[in-house]
Amino acid sequence: MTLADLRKGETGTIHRIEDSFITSKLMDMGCLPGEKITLKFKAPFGDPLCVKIAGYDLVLRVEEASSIQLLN
Amino acid sequence: MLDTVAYRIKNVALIGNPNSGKTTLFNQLTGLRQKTGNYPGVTVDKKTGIAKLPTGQSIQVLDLPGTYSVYPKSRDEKVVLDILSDPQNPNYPDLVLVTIDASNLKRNLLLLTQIKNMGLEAICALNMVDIANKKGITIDIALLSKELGIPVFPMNSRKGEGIKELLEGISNYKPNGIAPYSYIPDIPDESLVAVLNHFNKNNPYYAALYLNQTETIGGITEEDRQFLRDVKSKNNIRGLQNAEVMERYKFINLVIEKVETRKGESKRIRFSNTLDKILVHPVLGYAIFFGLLFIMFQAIFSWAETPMDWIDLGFAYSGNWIKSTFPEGLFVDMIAEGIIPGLGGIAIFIPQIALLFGFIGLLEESGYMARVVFLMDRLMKRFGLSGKSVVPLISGVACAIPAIMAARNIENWKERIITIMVTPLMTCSARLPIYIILIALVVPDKTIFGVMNLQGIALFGFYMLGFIGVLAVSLIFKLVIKSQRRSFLVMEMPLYKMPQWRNVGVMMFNKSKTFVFQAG
Repeated sequence: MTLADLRKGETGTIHRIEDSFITSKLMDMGCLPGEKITLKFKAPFGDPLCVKIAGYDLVLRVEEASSIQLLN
Repeated sequence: MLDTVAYRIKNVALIGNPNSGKTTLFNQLTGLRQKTGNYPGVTVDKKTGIAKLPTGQSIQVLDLPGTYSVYPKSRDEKVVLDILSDPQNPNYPDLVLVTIDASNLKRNLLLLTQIKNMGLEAICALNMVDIANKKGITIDIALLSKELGIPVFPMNSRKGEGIKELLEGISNYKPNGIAPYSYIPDIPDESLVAVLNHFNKNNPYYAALYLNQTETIGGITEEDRQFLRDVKSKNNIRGLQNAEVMERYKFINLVIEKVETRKGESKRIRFSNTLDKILVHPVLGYAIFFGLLFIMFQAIFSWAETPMDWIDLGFAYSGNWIKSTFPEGLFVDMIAEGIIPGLGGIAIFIPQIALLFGFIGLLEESGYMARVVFLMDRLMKRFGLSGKSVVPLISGVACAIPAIMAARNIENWKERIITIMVTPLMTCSARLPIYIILIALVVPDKTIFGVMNLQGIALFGFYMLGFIGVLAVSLIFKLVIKSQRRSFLVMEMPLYKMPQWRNVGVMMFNKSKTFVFQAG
């Protein structure tokens, strides 16, 4: 399961982030294995997403969200 | 460096995460004693200002672009690493002032631990303590200072609280050279030593910086880069940067556990959440955004009319005055009919431009602009643009020059270049008089359907034509330009805030200045 599969209001725990050029950006911003992440809401056409991580709100596209794998 | 008698500070660099109140602090420290220039070779705004210490000494403050990490993800951020990693750089600071958003301590500390690890002298301005308290967060400041090994000054820069103490802290600063956390890259010893020797450094963290940023870091030669590439391929070194960030966050989590206490979600967050239900609503969200745009343009054109008339009259009057006062001649004609109307032609757009950037400043300051990016991203992506292209495009209605400058925070090269190329297609205010003359000549001044003025419709048509041109040309560029880089959008969604009038004012002033001196 990835972050893109969460429904509104659901929380998951980050397992790992697939390796891509965006990985380090996500990590810099606090998306790390073990962190809890909550899907707050989606933009009108389902993309991008607004999530809560490390005590603040972060916006990312579905494409980026699907590279964040969650623990089941 | 470890001179305990007197550490004379002349250059301070201000650094921090986006939304950490860095701009507000910069404006508070320097007032209007600011200067905007360019870093050599890159079109990144270089903002410097002069601050006065309690001792009466003046120091130069350099406002570095906001960043989450010293590892750059955009042009702006590259400047930060280039300056801070290279003591030979003319902008290399004696002291780094790190602004930390107290309501977001964990994420903000990453940058601070990196800066200290680079061996830089640093002071921490713990900003937005009031907002943190409202979010139910309390921070043990003395303990935080001890854990980080640097002076920490709590402040609310929006209210000007804590500025005095911070300035005193700068003048009393004693260098200590201690890093709260020293990262040593996990690579074979001989490679580590080889890299450090090659660059004549003894801080192991520099090996990580050079190895991670082999292709981007400034201040080194092509031979140096080749040397680094060889070291990396010989020892199969990769993924160091992510490992470093994970290690740092491990350390930061320990610090946070000691210094921070959190109580449940506060009223303030709930308010922001409620507002988001309305402002990013699938229907209401767009309706409100386009409504705001409409009100904005209405206001710009009606409010700017009077000051524009004054400027027009003023220049016409001074031209005539010179002509009638001085004897006739080539030189007088040149001034009265060349220079003065020429300057007038530029000055007349100042009111519109200042007003437009005033509105944009308000939208950015309040946190609403991030919602606009969020709402528009999906639509803009289809045309090869990004949600972040919205700001330059709106600004383009006033003047394309500052608008293009606003495109530089778009990370993806392709999206940035398309935004830059299409922004001039928006109908800027200098084109307006020409459209008006053309319309007056060609379109009859008639009213149709009782309320709609034919000329008004024609003018609206010109604006639409510009915007349609933007989308059409973007689409062509999207298909033509090939880029390996995947585009992405990763952005902090800030809490809604009351706009800071002073910041809006400074922005209006600086952008108008950019227009006058760079367009004129």
